[in-house]
Parts: sequence; structure tokens; C-alpha cells
Amino acid sequence: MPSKTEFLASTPSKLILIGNVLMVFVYFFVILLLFPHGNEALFWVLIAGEVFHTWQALAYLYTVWKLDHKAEFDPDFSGAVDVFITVCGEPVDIVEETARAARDMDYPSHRVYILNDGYVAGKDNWQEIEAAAKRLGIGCLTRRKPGGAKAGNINNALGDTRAPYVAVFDADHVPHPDFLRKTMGYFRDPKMGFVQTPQYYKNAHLNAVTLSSWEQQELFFGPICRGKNRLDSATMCGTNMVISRAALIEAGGMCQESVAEDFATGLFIHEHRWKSLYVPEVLAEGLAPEDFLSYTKQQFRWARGALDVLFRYGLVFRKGLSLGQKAQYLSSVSYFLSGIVVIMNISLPLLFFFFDLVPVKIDTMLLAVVFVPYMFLTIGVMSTTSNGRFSFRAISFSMCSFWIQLKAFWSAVTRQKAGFSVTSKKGLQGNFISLAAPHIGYIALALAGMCVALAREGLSPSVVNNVAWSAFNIGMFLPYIAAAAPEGFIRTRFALGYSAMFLPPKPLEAKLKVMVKR
Amino acid sequence: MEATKPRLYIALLVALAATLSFFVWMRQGITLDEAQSVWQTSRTLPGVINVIAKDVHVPLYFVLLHFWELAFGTGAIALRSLSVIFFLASIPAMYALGREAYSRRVASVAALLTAISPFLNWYGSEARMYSLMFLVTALSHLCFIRLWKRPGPAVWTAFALTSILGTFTHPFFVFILFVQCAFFVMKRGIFPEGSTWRFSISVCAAGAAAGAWLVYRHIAGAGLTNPVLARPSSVDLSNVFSNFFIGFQSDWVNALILSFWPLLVLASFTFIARKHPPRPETSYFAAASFVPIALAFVVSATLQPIFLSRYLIICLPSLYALVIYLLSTYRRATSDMLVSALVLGMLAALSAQAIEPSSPVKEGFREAAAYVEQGIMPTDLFVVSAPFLTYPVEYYYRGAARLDTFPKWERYAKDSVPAPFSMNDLATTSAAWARTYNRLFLLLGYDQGYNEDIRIYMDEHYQRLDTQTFSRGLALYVYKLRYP
Repeated sequence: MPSKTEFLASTPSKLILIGNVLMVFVYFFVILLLFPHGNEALFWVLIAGEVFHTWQALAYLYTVWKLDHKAEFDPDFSGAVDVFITVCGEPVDIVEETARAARDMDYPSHRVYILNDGYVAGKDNWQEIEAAAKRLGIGCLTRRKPGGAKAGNINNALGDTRAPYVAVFDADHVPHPDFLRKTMGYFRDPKMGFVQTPQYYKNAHLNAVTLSSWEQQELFFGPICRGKNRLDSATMCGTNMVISRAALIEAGGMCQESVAEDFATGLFIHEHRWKSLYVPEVLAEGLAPEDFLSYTKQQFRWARGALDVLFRYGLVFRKGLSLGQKAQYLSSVSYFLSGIVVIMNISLPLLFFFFDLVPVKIDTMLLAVVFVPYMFLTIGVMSTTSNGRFSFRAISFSMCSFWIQLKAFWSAVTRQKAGFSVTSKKGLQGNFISLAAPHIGYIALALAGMCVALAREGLSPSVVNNVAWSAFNIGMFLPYIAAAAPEGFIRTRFALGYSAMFLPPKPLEAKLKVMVKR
Repeated sequence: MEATKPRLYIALLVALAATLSFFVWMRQGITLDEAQSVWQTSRTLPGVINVIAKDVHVPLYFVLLHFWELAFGTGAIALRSLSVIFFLASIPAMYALGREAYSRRVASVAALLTAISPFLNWYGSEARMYSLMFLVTALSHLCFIRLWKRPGPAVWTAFALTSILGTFTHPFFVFILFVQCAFFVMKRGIFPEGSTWRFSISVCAAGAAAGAWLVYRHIAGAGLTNPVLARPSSVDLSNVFSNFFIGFQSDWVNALILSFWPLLVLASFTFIARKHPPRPETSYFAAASFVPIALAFVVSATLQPIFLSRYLIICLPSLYALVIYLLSTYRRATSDMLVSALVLGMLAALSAQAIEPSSPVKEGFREAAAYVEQGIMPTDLFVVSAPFLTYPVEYYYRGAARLDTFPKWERYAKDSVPAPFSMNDLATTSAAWARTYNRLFLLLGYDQGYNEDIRIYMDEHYQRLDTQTFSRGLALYVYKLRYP
């Protein structure tokens, strides 16, 4: 199992953060003001991308500026809690484990309910879930009237329960016995709206997909969520959390219109001036998506939900949020726009290869002189703020999600209907290579483009530099493509082996050996 | 047995480097800087110190070279062997540094890279202070790291000594002291109790020694022979790193290799984004590798140009140790593959540097002097410009005609500097030459901003008889001045 504490232990140096802020500005203004323009349209597209990068970098540095926020905690606070376990067709054994752990939590006044959506979702095992609840001696609220997906399920349960606080767990997120002991004390503050804890994946070392999912989570639930505490803008993540019923009711219940109901609900609670807190301690253990299709669906759902907050709910113009909170929400949402910038950046070598178009006319080394220190410092900051948990695999998967983000962007802008789908708790078998088709297509285009450019101007420094940029992009794509490849040699040897070559966590190595032996 | 193996390995590396030095690098023609070293040190000891004070350097190496010359003479091999000794001593020093900072594996590769480095092989055989700089810096790093890992009175004494020696080896050593001070302040917690005053004493001792030298320089009339350096560009900055790893290659090869820099960014994602918190040694080496380069670049861009890759040799011990350590953090098979690629690449670069006659660092004064000697008559005149080319030329030139400089330079006059260049002076002087001599052998190199003016003027007014290029930027033009 991955470490439960290391990703929460960073204390970044202010000096490095300040240095990075300076480098962000130096890099941006050097490109904007000092580089002679190449193709005018491309130049301004590049600048637009750099504005976005600058925003992201500054927002990150602002977020992680101070990570040791302390909130008032009353260990004797013991308000009654209704514990909801949202279920929609998950395997009974998984649900039972979570429900049992929830029932056995060390807290004087809590009642556990399985919110069983299996019936309305047409799942085969809805009756088995009811039977399991009975066996465990806990409540089971099986909806008969569909609507609103997970949010609808919770809202339905709110009508049938009464406790002033509601804890929510996904079916696969098993709470620790002290979960309520370590979260409820913060509700001593009557304006506390919700308390969120990390979404920890105990199956992280199962395969490349689970590991990448977890390593992306480490950055988010490590420095980012800890930093958001300072600005009272914790992100609601839909599981492993406790919400004040009053806050939830005032916010209109869980938001049923968004596929990322948790994120939107958190926003509405903040708008009503309720406080929030992220507790940086693993108090529940869940499961990461185990296969590439489930991972892709999860990423799409998060991207679409977040972008809905921007486009559908008009985040920028909403009232009730402080400036810091608005900046934090904008920062979270804008991550899912990075696909646009990624596709723009990876297109630059292709435009040079095929059309001899460049955004700036400079010696390649001039760009290196500005870019390399900027990039080294930025990666160094990411590494130190995440206590060294920031990984190559996580960067690769984040960058390669550009296609998912573009699709989410298009569906959000065109207001296409997006259905909520529960992330599979068991690995799906199959060939998901089609999900990496854009990345494979890029490799083919880059190879063809290299031939075109070599035929046009031979082995010039410009050609070599663009070949190197293409190689950079391809190097980033490879772990992602390999993870999507069919089960077999490539999936086991390469997906694990390639990235493990650079990042060798021991359990993964053992797993690789077992798989190769098979 | 365990101790014998590294000793044997180091001995083999030293033998390899010594062989290369003796049979390849020491056989190259004397460079301008080396000839200047000879000129500066071929005098009494107070005279050596006085002349160095008027130059841009500090005296340690020149004093050592002075005594070395007294013992072994001023032949090229004899001159260079002092530097070779420092270079060869750097191999075990780098082994010790790698061992102290990281592991035996890092140490072994660090010693290997030192032995085969094209950059170090070149400067390791040059009669200048650069191999001494490298050695003193490596020892300074070794002592500094021991200050927090294995402190003791001997370590503190050695650290103070290397600080003073470094300060007297090259002014750029102050950048290393700056990095050490900054690191000490920022990572105070890793040093044992009572370190602050000891560290302060060591640095102050170096500072006091440097201060005393500065006062003496001021009294002696410092900076009279400062070379004119261009403000550095991004190409110069990137060339520092290419020089460090592939030495001196043709512009085309250098540009192509440097153009692969985005792959360095890709590598940095795998280097930095690893699940190991950086060790203090790594942070220190990173600072010692990059901060001096950044500072020298900023100073050169804003105050006065001082940016030369050979001055930045102080960054090389830490850079090699850092790179090898980063490569060693991959799993073994990957690490072996990458280290092998690096070693093979450096060996290829070393071979190319040895074989390629147009290598940018080679200076063809020996060949130029020999060529002139063959064709020149007593009724001809041999002129060099920039004036300080006279140092290496007179080292080799034994021709029949007089050797002069343009602009005029009375080197042996007190506090003499070359006359400033002017077109009027050129017209007057060349007319005077034409009244006295039949032919002019004009050797142009180390352009101080007026070589092209001289060539164009001479082409327009006199008949050019011959042109020869001996190395990059070093060309001979032969003109007919008058008909006998």
C-alpha cells in the first residue's frame, strides 16, 4: 500500500516559491517582449497558452504558500451523524466491508445507512445489498424513484434521516475507526459547512493505471488541498467527508444537475458563507479505477463537472465567494482547460515539420536559456511541495489527458447531456488502445513530419530541436499508450517497466515480476 | 582487498590520462594564454607577483610555475607538466568526493569522467591555472561536505586552507565561497554545534587573503592588461555546458548536440520527479554547479564581461558528481545504460577533439610561426594584431625579419599598454612600413574589434600575395609593400 503520510508532509521553502514566481514572470515577459515574432497568429496563440501557464503556476504557488493551517478542534464534540454509503451495483463484498467499518466507527452517536441505488439503476444485486444491510444491522434506503444519480440518492436519504451531520462514503471507501473522532470536532464552529479528508487508494500498486491515479491524487490531496484550507476553500470530493445538514439544505441539497455533484455542491455551500476544512490525514481507504476505461470515464466526469461550474454555473460571475475562494475554484476548474494548451504545444513541432511555421524566430539556445531554468525550478517546486511524491507517471497521465479534457470542454460548451457513471470497482479486461488513438496518431504524424522537414532543410539545428520536442512529447505519451494497450507483453512489460525504469517503487517491481512470470 | 581495487582502478585511470596528456595534448602548439604565462613568470619572484597584480589573475599558479620553470625550463612539455600533475591529482580527488558525497559507484564514475573529459584533458595540459582550479574546487567541496558529515579539527583546517588556496588560484573561486556561505546559512541545521564561528573564521581568512591581494593590486596598478571580452549570449551560456561534456567540437556538431535540449527537460521530469527527498549533498552540488554560471552571466550582462567557460571550470567537479548521482538513482540496468552512453559519448568527443584540426580551441601559432619563418626575408616585416599575439608568436618565431605589433606596444616600458587603434595610425604606420620593407606578413587573430578594418585597409592599398588560416580566427595575410 502507498504511504499514508508522506504526501501530506511537505514544508516548501518560501525562498524557492518566490524564486519560482520571479521565473514565471521573467519567462513570460521574455517571450512576450523580447522574442521576434514568427508567424503572427501562432505567436499570439503561444502567448495565450503562456498566459494560461502563468495563471496556473501563480495559482499553484499562491495555494501552496502556507500549508500548515490550523482550525479549532473540540475532541468532545459529539453531534449526531447519519453515515451514508452510496451504492449503485458495486459488489456486495466491497459494500459490506465499507458498511461494517462504518458501523464500527468509534463514535457515540452515529447511524449507518446504505443508500442503495441498485434498484433504480437496474443492477442485479440490489436485493443482495439489502440483505447485507440487514445482516450488518444497519439501515438500507433503496430508492424506487430514479433521478439525480448519486446526488439524487443522497438527497433522497436526507428526507428519510434527521441527524444534524451527514458523513458520506463511496461504496469502496472504508473508513477508519477514528474517522468521526477526528473530523467531528471541527463542527464545534457552528459555521463549519463540511469537512473533507483525503481520497486514498489502497490498491495504488496494482497496476500502471491505479498507480498513476494515486500519484495524481497525491499532488491534489497533498499540497493543493492543504493550501486551500488557508483560503477556506476546501474542495468537496463526494466521499470521506462530513457535511452539516443545515449547510447542505441551505445549498439546495447535493447538486443533481452536475456530473461532479460534489464539486458543485461544495461551491454552493461556500456561496452561502459556510466554512470548510480539509483534514490532512488518511481516515478512509478506497479503490482507484483499475482499468484504463474506468480511469478515462472518471477523468472525463471530473473534467466535465468542473467545466460545467465554469460554463454552466458561471463561476466568474457568481456572488457570495471571497476573492481567494473564487481564485481557488477558478484554479481547480482551469486545470481541466489545460488540454487546449497541451494540444497547442504539441502541435508546434508538427507545424514546423510540415509548414515551416514557427511562433518565434530565435536561436533555439535562447529559448533554452530561459525555458530550462524555469522548468527546472518549477519541477523542483512541484517536487518539494509534494514532498517528493510528484512523479513522472503522474505528469505523463496529466498531460495525456488532453484529449479527455478537450472532449469534456466541447461537451460542456455545447451543453451535451453527460450521464453519471459509477467508477468500476473491479478491473475491466479488454483492449483500450483506441482511447490512446490521438496519442498514437501524433507519433505517426511526428515521424512523417520529421521526414518532410529533413527533406526540406536537412539536419539543421531547427530540425533537430523540433525532433527533440516531438521526442519529448512522445516520451510523455508512452506510459499512457502502454497502459491502454491490450493485456499481455506490452501492458505488463512496458506499461509497468517503462515508467518503473524511471520510478521504481518496490511493490510495483514485485508486481511486474509476478506478471511476467505468469 | 576491498581497498586495493579502487586504488588499482584509480591508478589505471591516472595512467590513461597521463598517457593521453603526454602523447596527445602536451604535443599541441602553445596557446596565447600559455605564452603569456611564460612571459609573466620568466622574471624574479617579486617581478612575477607585480606583473600578475597588473593582470586580471591571482598569483598562486604563477608563483608555482615560476619555480617549476627554474627547475625544468620553459619547453612546452616541461611547462605543461605542472598542470598535468594537478589534472592527474584531480582523478583521485574526484573519487574521494564521489565517495564522500554518495557511493563507491558514483565515485568510480566521477573519476572516470574526470580522466576522459575532453574539457579537462584540454585544460589539464595547458600551462594555465585551470587544472589547479578544478583540483582545489574538488578538494574544497570534499572538505565542505565533511564539515557536516565527518567534522573535526583537520577537516576545518583543510577547509580553511582550500578556501585560501582557491582564492589565490582564480578570482572566480569567490563564487564557490558564495555558494558555500549561502548553503551554510540555509542549511545551518545539518552542521554540528559550534560550526558558525569556525566557518566564519575560514571564510574570513580567505576574505582577508583576497583583501590583501586586492590592496596590493590597487597599489601595483591593476587591470592594465585586461582582455576585451564580449558580452555573453545565450549561445555562450549553452556552450559552457557543451564544453563541459563534449569539449570543443565544430560549430555544426556543437549546435546539433545542443539542439537536443528538450530531451534534457524530459530527463529532468524523471530526475527531479522522483520519490526521494533531495539529499543535502545534491542541493549543494546543484547550487555549486549552476549558481556560479548564473552569477557570471548576470555580472557579464550587466557590469563587465567576465564570462568564459574555462573560468567556470569551478562548476565542473560538482556538476559531474551531480549528474552521475542522478543517473545512479535509476534502477541499475537503466543507470548502467545511461552512464555507458555518457562515457562513450565523452570518449567519442575526446577523440574528435584530438583528431579534428579545426577544433575551436586549438591555436595555430606554432604552425603560423613555422610558415612565416620559411618564407620571410630580412627585408620583410612580420606584424601581429592584436598586439598580445606577440607572446605565442615570439615563443616559436625564429625568422629572419623583425617581429612587431599593430597597434604599437612597448611591452618593456613601465606600465605599458598597447596604443589605441585608429585608422589614421594605420595609414601612417603602413606608409612607414612601405618605405622600409618589401613585404608585410600580417598575422591577425584574437580580434579586439579592429582586425577587419586592418585587413580591408591593407587589401585596398596593397597587393595581397598570400593568405593562410592556421586555426579559427588566426589568419596570415602577406602583402607586397613596395617593389625592391
